[in-house]
Amino acid sequence: MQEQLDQLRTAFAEALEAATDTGALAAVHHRWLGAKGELRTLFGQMKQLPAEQRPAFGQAVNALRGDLEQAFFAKQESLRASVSADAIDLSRPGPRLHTGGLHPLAQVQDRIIEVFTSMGFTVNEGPEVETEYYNFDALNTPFWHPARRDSDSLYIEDGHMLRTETSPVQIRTMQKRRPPLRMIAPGRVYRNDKPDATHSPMFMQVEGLAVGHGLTFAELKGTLLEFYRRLFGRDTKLRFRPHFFPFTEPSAEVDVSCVFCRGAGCRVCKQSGWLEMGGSGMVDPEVLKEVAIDPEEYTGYAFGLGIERMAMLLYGVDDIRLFYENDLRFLRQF
Amino acid sequence: MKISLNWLNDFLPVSQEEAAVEALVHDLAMLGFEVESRESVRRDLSGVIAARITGIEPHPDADKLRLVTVDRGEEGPQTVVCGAPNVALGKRVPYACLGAKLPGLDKPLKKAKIRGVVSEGMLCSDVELGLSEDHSGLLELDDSWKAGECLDERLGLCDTMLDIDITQNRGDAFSIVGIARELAALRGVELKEQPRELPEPSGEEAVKVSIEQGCAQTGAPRYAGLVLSHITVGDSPRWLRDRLEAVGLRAINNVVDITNYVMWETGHPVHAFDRREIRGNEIRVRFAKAGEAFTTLDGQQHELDGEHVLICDGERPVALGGIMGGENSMVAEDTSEVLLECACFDPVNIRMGSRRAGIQSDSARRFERGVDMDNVPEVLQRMARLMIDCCGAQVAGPIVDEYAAPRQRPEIALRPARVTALLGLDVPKERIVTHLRSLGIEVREGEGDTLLARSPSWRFDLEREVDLIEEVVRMEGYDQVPDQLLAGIPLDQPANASLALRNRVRDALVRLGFRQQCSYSMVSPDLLERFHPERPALRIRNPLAAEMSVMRHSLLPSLVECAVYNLNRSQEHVALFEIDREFHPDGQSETGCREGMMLCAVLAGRQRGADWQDTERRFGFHDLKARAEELLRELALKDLEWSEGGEGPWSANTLSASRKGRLLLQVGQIEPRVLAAQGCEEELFALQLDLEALEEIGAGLPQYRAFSRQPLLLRDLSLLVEDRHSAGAVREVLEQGLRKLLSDLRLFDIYRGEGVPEGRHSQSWSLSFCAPDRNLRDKDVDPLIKKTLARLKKELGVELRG
Repeated sequence: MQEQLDQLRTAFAEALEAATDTGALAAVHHRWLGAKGELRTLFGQMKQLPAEQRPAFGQAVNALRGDLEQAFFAKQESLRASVSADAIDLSRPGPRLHTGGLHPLAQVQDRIIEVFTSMGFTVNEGPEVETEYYNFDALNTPFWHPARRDSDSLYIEDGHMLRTETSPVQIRTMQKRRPPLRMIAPGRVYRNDKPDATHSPMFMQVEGLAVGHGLTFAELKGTLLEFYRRLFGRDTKLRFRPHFFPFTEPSAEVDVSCVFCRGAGCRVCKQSGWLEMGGSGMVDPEVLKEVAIDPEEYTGYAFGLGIERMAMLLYGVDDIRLFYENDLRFLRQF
Repeated sequence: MKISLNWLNDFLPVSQEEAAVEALVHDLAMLGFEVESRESVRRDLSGVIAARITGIEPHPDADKLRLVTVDRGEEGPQTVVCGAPNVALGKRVPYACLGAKLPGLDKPLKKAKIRGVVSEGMLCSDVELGLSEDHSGLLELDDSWKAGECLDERLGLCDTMLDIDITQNRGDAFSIVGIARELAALRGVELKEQPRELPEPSGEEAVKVSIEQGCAQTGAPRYAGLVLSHITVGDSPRWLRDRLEAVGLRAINNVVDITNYVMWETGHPVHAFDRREIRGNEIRVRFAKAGEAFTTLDGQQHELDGEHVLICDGERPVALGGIMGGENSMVAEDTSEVLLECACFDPVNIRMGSRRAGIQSDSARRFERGVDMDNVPEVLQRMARLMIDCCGAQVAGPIVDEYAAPRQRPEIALRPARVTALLGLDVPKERIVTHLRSLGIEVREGEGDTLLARSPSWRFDLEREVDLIEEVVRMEGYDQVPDQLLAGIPLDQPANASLALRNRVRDALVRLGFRQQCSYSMVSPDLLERFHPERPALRIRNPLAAEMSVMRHSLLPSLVECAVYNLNRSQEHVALFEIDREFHPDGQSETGCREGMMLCAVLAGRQRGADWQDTERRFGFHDLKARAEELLRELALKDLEWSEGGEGPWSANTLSASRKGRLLLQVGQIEPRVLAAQGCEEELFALQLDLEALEEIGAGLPQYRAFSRQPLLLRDLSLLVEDRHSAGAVREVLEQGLRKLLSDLRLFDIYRGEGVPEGRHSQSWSLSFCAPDRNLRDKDVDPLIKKTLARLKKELGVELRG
């Protein structure tokens, strides 16, 4: 009889040892300690014993049950503790990722380049330190023009200057390539402007030029409309207003229907429904003559737009200086 | 330029209604005149009437106050408390009724008890009525006012100001008339004339006018004068002061105010001299002598040069032509005779002359954009008419007019077909003619289909066919131009290879975890000096500030500056790059500069850590090296010559890669002393890639190499290496010796200390082997390893660690 009890004790200990999760533990309980478990069966056998042996047997089985239950609860306790140690806390933050990223101005410039190249424009570049000839004279800007003053443009000590627009690239390109041509010139330009929320002594521009047979003011409008539609959506509208630039005639200021209120009027467009995007016009005959292109044979159009302005609109940036401060707390947002 | 709609209304009907103002702003925009701001001005005097003082009694309780009884016409008499000093029987003064909303008071007027006496209504000074800042006494109304007459009709004001941007080419629009003329053309209405008829001169008073030989062509083509007598200098009438103040001009006295008024209205700057100061009864117009001194009416003395135009009397200069009058001849309080000047000056002369003299004036601002030369008599008449009306003036003599160099306005040929060809908008010939004529352009038929057009005298920007085409489209409306889609894209256009390469490098850097920065090309000379004192820099002649006075000849300082900026702001993980130009002075180049494209990247601070499952690690040299190697792999750059050691800002911990002697890449630690000067105590590692060299060498595309699909056989080797031998040397022998079967190797531990003899260290290498065609077994690898170990021992004294 005692042997039977010892066997049961051993078997139980082994099973308990083997149980590593709550499911296995429940099975152990069911087999030995359950309502139809082996201990119950032992108690059932008591009836078959002679009466004088029964009390001793009862005590032994009860003692065994006490031992098993104690072992079981201890195991259950330890299993519970170990289970909660292994469970992952889903609310913990993942480790900070240090990803790379493009500067927001580069991202906007990329989009602009992508749209124009898909429309058949090439991308051309030129020097940032320029001669006055390329920056002004060749672009029909007379010597007395206010843009040439020290208070407007930045000059190098040796008499050269920092380009105030990327238009010199147009001249340089036209000197090398004959029409028909379609090009854009992205890049840095410089002005003698004190930095404030909307001004920067250095900023980025994209200028475009197309020269060919029979290019018209209407095509300039169509080209810019298509460009802004691809950038801001198909329902974008375009408005041309007369303006003056020395290198184009007729010249137009380009407005785009406000990308935020869709023309209804809001804070960004100052209730006008329009956003001013840049200048444009038909290339002035004097400019074409300067690069020995006959304005009777060819016509052309040109346009310019500011990348910062567009980035400020697209990303809701309210101070142009943020782009050049390079604070990681700013850069990481793009 | 500011304009007042009341003033504009003198020339064409303009409504102050919101919708009408909106339409006006839109019309102006579509004409090319952007309205930058608008402002409404309202001076409501409807609760104020004229009252006559009929009784004055002392206040029972205050010495300075009096009880004044006034006659209010139909409203009957009323007594009010008043403290003004200029109370006198019979005077007409403004009386504000109870409830009146006075411009100068915050709340509607209420009944008040002043020192025990109830006062119903009040007598007003300029201040309460919002007329001026003058609070010295009650506003005194003249005898034309009837008791009970409402002040609002004569002194009230309802106006809208527009601030309009006038482009450089449109001097003709720099006036009320100019704007009115444009609107009249667009709206097809007639311009109203302003009164300028003069009575017969009362005498023959005149000054002799002459323009010096040579000065007429490039200085002053026209000069006209008119003498007025019986002037009483005093305040201008209210309406005139209101208009001047509305457009931002300060009222001074009636004579000066009228010259300003005429300038604003006609766009033609004019001047009034005190006739007493015009000596020798003559005006001579000449160029100044170099170094000649002259004091303008603002009290400033200027040194002139030979191109400044001087207006002189018989003895001395009295005005700096077209720019500003002289102090010596300005109108004074007791002036009774004036010489009115209306002259024309060369735009470029005035532009450059005022710039050289450092004077900005309303006059110069107009002359430099071009002022109508043919309207001189009309302007003089208008000015004289106003002085007759406002200063009691009489015309003392005839207009003396010297038009020495009349402006030529040759005819311009315009081909209607060209209009369509350039615009892509079909405008019939008749419409072209209508548009041009509405702008005052004379048009007649020329040969064939051509039109011949002549610019009106007030326009200075119409010289070529294309200028006229712009006028046509402006009148037709820019919004009428259709939008056409691109026709025929030229296909054989060159691609921009350098941009593509630059973008390839840029995108690789982003994948490697770097953030792109964008910094100014103009930097502080001190900053550059700290990094590269040996390099010359391009200096800006007129910099914004010293810290933006040179063009950078290296990107590195900007990157370091940005890294330090961010580290100082607790941004611990700094991985930045920039791809842009470096500027090197170059006398051989047409721009005096060679611009090189560079990539510069920096790593500094904490590489990882501060997270619950990571241990902290700071960036080290090898973190950057790993990224550089990955970059080179992506660009498929091989056969580079490597060297160790740096100079300048690059510390000894620097690797440089060249190809055929041309430096391509530097990867290294920046000298701590250079960083310290920059206020940085962190270790900082930088990478610099010369993109022009890269373009020349040519980046390739990675070429596929077959890899084995057999299982790898792994072996670890711990080697005892003398300290003088580098990991690179060991690696070289391992790679050489095992190359037949070696697939990869990795240095996974470096150890010094217990169990390793002094002067040596342990390098633990993990090797993986494979063969292309079979499963490797120990017996394949063991002999190879054994041979290589022998070679390591022989060449480097390396032993296997026990």
